[in-house]
Amino acid sequence: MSLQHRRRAAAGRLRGIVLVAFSFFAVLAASGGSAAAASDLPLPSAIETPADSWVVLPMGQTGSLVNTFWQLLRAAPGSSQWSVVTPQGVADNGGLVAAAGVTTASTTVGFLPSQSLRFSPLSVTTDAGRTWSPAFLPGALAARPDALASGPGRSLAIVGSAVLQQPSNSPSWSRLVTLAALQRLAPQCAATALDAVAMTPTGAILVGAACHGHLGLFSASGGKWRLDGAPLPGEWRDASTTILRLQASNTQTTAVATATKGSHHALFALSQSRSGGWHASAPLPIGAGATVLASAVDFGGALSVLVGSKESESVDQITPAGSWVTLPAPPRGAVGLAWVVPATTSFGATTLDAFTVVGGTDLHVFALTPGGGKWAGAQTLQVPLPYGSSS
Amino acid sequence: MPGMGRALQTGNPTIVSSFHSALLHQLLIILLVAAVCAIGFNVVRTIQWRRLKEHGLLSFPLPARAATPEPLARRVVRIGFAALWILDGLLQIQSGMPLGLTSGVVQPAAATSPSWVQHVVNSGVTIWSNHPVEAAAAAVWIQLGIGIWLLVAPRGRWSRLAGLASVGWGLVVWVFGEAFGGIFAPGLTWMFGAPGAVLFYCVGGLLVALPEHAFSTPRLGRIIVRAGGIFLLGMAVLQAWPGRGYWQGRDGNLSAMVQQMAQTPQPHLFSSWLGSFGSFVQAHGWGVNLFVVIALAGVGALLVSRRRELVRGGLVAFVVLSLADWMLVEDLGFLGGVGTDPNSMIPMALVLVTGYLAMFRLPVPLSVGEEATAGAAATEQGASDAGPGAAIEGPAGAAPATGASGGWWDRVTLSYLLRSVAAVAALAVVLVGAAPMAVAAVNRNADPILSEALNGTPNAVDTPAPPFTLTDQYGQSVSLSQLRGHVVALTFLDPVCTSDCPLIAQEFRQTDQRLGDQSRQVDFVAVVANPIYRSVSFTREFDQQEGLTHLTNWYYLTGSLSALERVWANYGVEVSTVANGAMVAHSDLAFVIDSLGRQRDALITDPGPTQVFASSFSSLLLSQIDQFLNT
Repeated sequence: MSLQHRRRAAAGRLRGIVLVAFSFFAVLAASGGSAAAASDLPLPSAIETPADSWVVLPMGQTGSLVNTFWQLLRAAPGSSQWSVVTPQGVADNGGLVAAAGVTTASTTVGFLPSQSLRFSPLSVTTDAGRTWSPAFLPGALAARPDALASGPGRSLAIVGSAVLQQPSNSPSWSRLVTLAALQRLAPQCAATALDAVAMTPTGAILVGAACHGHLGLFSASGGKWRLDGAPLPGEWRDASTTILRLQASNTQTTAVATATKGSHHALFALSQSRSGGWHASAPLPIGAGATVLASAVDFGGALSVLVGSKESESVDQITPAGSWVTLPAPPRGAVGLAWVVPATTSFGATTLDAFTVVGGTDLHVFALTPGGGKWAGAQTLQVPLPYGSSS
Repeated sequence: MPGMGRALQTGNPTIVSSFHSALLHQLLIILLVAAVCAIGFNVVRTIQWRRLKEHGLLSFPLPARAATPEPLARRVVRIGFAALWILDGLLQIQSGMPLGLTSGVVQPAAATSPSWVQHVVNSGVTIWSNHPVEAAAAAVWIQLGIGIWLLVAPRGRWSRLAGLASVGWGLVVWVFGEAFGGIFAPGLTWMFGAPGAVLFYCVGGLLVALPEHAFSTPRLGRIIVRAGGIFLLGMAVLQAWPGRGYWQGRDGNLSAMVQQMAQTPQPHLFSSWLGSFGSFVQAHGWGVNLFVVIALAGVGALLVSRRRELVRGGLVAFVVLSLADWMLVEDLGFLGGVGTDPNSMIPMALVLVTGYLAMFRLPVPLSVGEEATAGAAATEQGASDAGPGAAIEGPAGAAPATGASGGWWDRVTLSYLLRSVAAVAALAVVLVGAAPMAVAAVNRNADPILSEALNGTPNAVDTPAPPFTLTDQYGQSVSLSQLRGHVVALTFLDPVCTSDCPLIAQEFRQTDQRLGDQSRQVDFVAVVANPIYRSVSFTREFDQQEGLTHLTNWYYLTGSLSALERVWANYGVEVSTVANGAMVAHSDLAFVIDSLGRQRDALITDPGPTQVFASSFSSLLLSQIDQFLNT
């Protein structure tokens, strides 16, 4: 090889090295971080019986799961004065699920697993939260607002991919139905998860499931299961659905479904007719970047949801006609909603309360004024939290 | 009380004292090895002297052929990195190293790297965290040993081996200690030490490990200098790349780094320099970055050029730039109590200076006559470099050997012998650190010292264990007296606890496994420590959760509230409910009860903030149980 050739080859090698080196640095320069995954938290939720109003709210350092202490609050009929009745004995930083008895005065609370605890202790009160008794559930309760139900003769719980039942006179739980069984029963529904359970005062069992193309609402009668949910109307016909809430009372059985189609999301309020079929409301579109933060179901079927985005929160309520109406904007940073039962002596309707938490421990209650014109401060509660006690 | 997030401080007296004690013990071993080497050297010298005398020789042989002095470039890189390794070894003696190195240096270095890098780094972090005393002591002796080895073995096989040792250990430190020098992290910049100081130690070691003739032509130097130039050009591109946070002053990466370094504990003078520079960067961040980009590109271009004056100019500029960065951005690297080395600027400058010397200051061969007068400057050439029949170098100025023509043994020179013995001693220093660390590294359980550092040493007692009769997880009645004849490890667990109790249960399970066949002589007993959730359903579910159901010697006992309260009181365990969503608070205690039913040890079982402490407690419990087996 001539000297010139050698020089040219050496220059070529050098250019190659420089090119490779620059490409390497360019790739390094362009590399970036990755986004964090979203967590699956139970929604703050409220239930109402003729005797009590209950609400589950997150408090504490909500940016840190370990130091988010969920609280159960109760209000007596006709009053927006809430008291903390969180059962003791278990760390509740995994979340709480509350279920009121349809025909009894009992309320059951399930502790969602957190950290190293992988099953869900239960606690039951029959005296409006003054005293609690421990109860056992084998396994981890699903992180859904209505994963527990209590009705005539038995209790229900969603554990993994099964609905468990416990007869009132037995401490043992047994399997009632599985997701696989529901999938076989209704292949058109293509159920992917169990979302909610409920019992009617007559003992009928309802199960809500995440489905595709159908509303995943099942019921059991005489040991036989059937799919009651129909496809959603209109453009949402092929949407993926979940059952966010499922509540039954003497007068009404109500559900809330979420529907997702591509990047579009909507909420539907559902009410069950006497024949067992479900009627869907008009959709409530959920804007991009917004999420459902909380929901409250009234035993008469009234329903409201708190929807929040980075910028603001809004409260929407379903009307008897099945359309959604937006209420005045809730106080900034609202974390929950609850219906308040009217006092038995009054002729008033249920009223709606909103909750905010300031500094993790100061709970502020706001009541929607009777005309529905604004939110007025009703109560402030200091809830001391033992940070670090669950880590 | 459980789960209050206690953590060990880097200056924990138990760990520090154990670290110092380990260093002292190892120093004594090293002194012993040194003494043996000295004696060995004298014995060999005497034997050799007698053999030579028998052959009619009056002195040790001298080199029989002309040799070259050690190339200047090689000497610079060898002595330079020897000094750096020794400095690093001395820095490793700092008290904060056993507990502070991983949390204060290694994990932050890996924090912004991709998950696979963090995974790799964590495997090293786990070993260090499990055995902090052995690991920290190992780092001291390995680094001191390599430094000494590089110094005492100037040439030949021993010297090249020292270079390889430097490469090997350097790679270990680069991967596990520096997270690959942060080259996979998004904020990579020359200014903060990329591509990692120890990578330059590896380059230095590699240069020492090369055959000496590699320094006889300018090729090696050209490669080093040109590679350095290309690297700096690449770093200039990276520094100039928009959107990486270096063009902005306020809230930019550079000002953040400088401000962070200013927080490091250090003399006021240094922190005030950094503070002033940080303010300057905040005000003129764009200009500072422009200067850095131009300087790096300029120096890189000069180094890539082949002309001596340009390369020299580039080198001088680089040294000045490096020193400025070293003082104003890297904050000298070794301050703050857990600084492990002077960071990247000094070793990088050393490599480039070596490259320059290897390029332009080639070794000149010596004649035999010159060699005699060159004396000590002409350092020893090892056996591998000596030609056939050549003597392996002896003291300068001695009479040339004439009759030593047997095997290599007859040609060994006194200085070669001395340096070989010194190299062996240096290798021994490395091994004194590496051997216990290697043994510890294969033990996946953390040392008991961690648990003792967190919870104190077990409290030795000798009193009758308070009796109890409770119900086990299967509904059977179990009393302590039934377990007589076995050693009992007793603790108190909340079956619905979310944090500590499951970890403590795992510690017990681990201890049971580690006991092997001896576990037949031991019973592990837990008593429920929750006044509300205390039914057999919960203890059984807890066992299921923790994988304890298959242990035949595991009893999780419960009973009526009054029965439990009696046991809690007898063993000094406090249990109380906490309102508003917290778990039950209870004392984390364990007791070792011997086979005669006497309480012998009380231990705090707080599993600490990480899994490391859990296996550490298991080691501690194992050692405590072991004392009472077969007694």
